[in-house]
This record gives sequence, structure tokens and C-alpha cells, in this order.
Amino acid sequence: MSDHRPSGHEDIIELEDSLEDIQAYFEVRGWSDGLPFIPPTRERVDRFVGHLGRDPGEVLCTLAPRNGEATVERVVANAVMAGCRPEDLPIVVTAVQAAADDALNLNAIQSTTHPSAIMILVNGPVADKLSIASGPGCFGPGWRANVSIGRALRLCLFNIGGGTPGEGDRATQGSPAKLAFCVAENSAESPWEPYHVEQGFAADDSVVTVIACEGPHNIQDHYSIGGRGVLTTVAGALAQAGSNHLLRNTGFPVLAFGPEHAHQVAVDGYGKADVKRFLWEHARFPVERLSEEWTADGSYADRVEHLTGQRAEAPITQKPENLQVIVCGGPGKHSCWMPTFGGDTRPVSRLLERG
Amino acid sequence: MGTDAFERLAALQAKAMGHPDLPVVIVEHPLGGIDPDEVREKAKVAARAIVERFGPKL
Repeated sequence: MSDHRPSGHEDIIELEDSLEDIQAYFEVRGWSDGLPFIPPTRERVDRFVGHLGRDPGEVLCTLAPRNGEATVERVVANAVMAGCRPEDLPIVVTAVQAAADDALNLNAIQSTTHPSAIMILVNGPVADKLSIASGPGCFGPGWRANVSIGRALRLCLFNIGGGTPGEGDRATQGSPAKLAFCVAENSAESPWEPYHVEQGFAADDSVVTVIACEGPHNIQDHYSIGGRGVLTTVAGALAQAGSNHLLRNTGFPVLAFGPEHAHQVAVDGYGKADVKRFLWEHARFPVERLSEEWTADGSYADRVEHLTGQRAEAPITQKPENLQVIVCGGPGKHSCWMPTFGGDTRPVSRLLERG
Repeated sequence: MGTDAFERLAALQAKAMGHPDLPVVIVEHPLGGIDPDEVREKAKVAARAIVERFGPKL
């Protein structure tokens, strides 16, 4: 791999034209997530930057914990590595900028011991245009757009932000969700208004949201026929000891209904606000089942009482509106939820393009 | 102040924020989930380190 065209921006590294050698060179320096990548050659990066139509030296934001400058060229190089197509770049750029928003609290998210990944949620026409999966298996492998866009963000967080495992990223165990985590909402099969409309965007706007959360925790319910039954199962799943939401009863947990569960719930008359109210009231964990070392001095129960008027059962967040509800997936009686880092991070939605 | 398990992160953050020479007091990991008596012992270690570093100015 050698290209003598001067960059004017980043240094050019000359390596033998061998994928294995290039891979090894990057790995030793901690520049890769461990998977094979597309070498970010001068030619590729320039071609991608040209497609984006922006100044390669433009600083989009800084990424913690290293506070590295995320220039257009650097973000594009990482997107090339991830296997993105040129048309994916606007989403990658928007996701990177959203991740740097103070509300997400990237410094904490990158360096925490918690296995906090960053989910990219895409709403609006761009999802279909770029074939970002929202249906069967949407959180899993097999969808180039989902995997490469999610991976591009992670590589930016590594290589620009310094969030490499064991260094800037101090996650105790990490998570597969940190490899690539991008999904589109299945608005076509949702009985409710899409997430971005709930946030105040127009239905035909394309919006990118980033949420600092764990990977999906499955919630199966094959036996309930009515919506209340499904919600009862979901409430039981959300009230999970060990989630950051029970730590201080804060945060914005994400609930992704599969379409079948969503319809069961909606047919029973539950709108999104009703769903959130039901879940907040029923997703409660008995305080007596928490570790005594958490609760012995009474301050935990004091907070529970302040939020709910009783001391025995802990809510997972301060108020129903904090629950983030989306619909995605395909046929089957499954939904999932993603606990987040807790009250110290908020989802960030950014407009990609007006409808 | 931090524990030895996070010493590299502390150095990275100090440099990123423009204070590469920031004095950092390091104690043995962990600080969370340990007996209060253990915490006090580690606090003593930290206090000694701070006095050594800044002694005459304290």
C-alpha cells in the first residue's frame, strides 16, 4: 500500500501491499477493533471525502476521553476501515457529532467500567434509502449498512477518542454491542408514532439518535394474548437488579418492542404514553431484595419514597416519560430492552436531512 | 486521585485536558465495594502521598 500523493492533512504511512501486513501494523498500534478492515488509503479516503463534499480538515467535534479532533478526513478514514459505502457517510458524521454532545456524556461513557455501547437509531426516509435494517434480525449480523455504520462510530471512538479497551475504555467485561450497534426503527409495522416524531421532528425528516446503552436484553412472551399481559412480562424484565437504572432510579432505558408485541399492546388500547405509565408503575424491584449494603442506611428507600410515595418497591427511573420506546424487528413474540448507563447520559437526536 | 487499575486513564485524561503533569495520587485497586476500614487505610496512603508531594505548601 503506497500512495505518494501528499495529504496536506494526515501523515501517510507506506506499507507493503499486503492485507495481512497492514492488519498486523494497525493491530499492534491499537488502531483496529480486531476484525479485518478496508485499508484507509489516500485514494479511498479522498474519494469518500469527495462524495461527502466537505473540507477534509473541518473539525466536526472532539471525542473524549482523549479529546481528539474528529476532522472530516479522520472520520472518513475510520468509516472506510469499517466497510462503509460513501452514501453512509452523512449518518456516520451525524452520529459522531451527536456522540460528542454534552448530553450523552461521552467522557463517562467511553471510560466507565460499565459495558456501555452507543446505539445509533435511524428514523425517516434515509433508512430505506440506505437499506438500514429495521426488521428481522435487525440487531444482528448480515446487514451491511447497520454493521458498517455502527462499526465506523466505534472505530472513531477508538482511534480519535482514545477509547480503546484497557486504555481509555475501562469496561470491566465489555460487550459485543461495542463492535457495531446500529438499527432503524420499523415504523412501517409500528402502531405508534415513530421515535423521531415523538422528539419533535417531522415524519418525513431523517434523524439520527445516539443512545449510550447496553446490548439488547431479550424479552419473550409467547403466552400472553392481551396487551396487559405482554406489558406485565415487559415490566418484570425491566425491573432488573444490577441495571444502572436501579442504582439511583434514574435514566432513560430503551424498550424495543417487536412488531407483534407492539400490536398486541396497541390493540388493547395502549398508546405510547400509556405504555410508559404502565411500565413505570409496574417495573418495580422489591427494596428488600437489594443488597443490604445498598439499603441499610435508609437513603435508598428515602429516594424511592420521594419518587413513588412508598418505600418498598423501587422504580427504574424518575418518571414514565423517561422510558424510550421504539419498534423494530420481525415476526415473533420477542421484544428487548437496553438498560443505559443511567441518569448521567441522555439520548441525543440530530436531524440528518429535512423531509 | 485514582486506583492503580485506572492510572493510565488518569494520565490520558490529564494530558487531554491540557495538564500532562497533573499530580495524581494512586492507591491500590479497588476503592469501591470494600470495607470502610480498608477505605480508611487507603485514605492514609493517599494522605501520605499528598503530604510528600506538597508538604511545605500545605
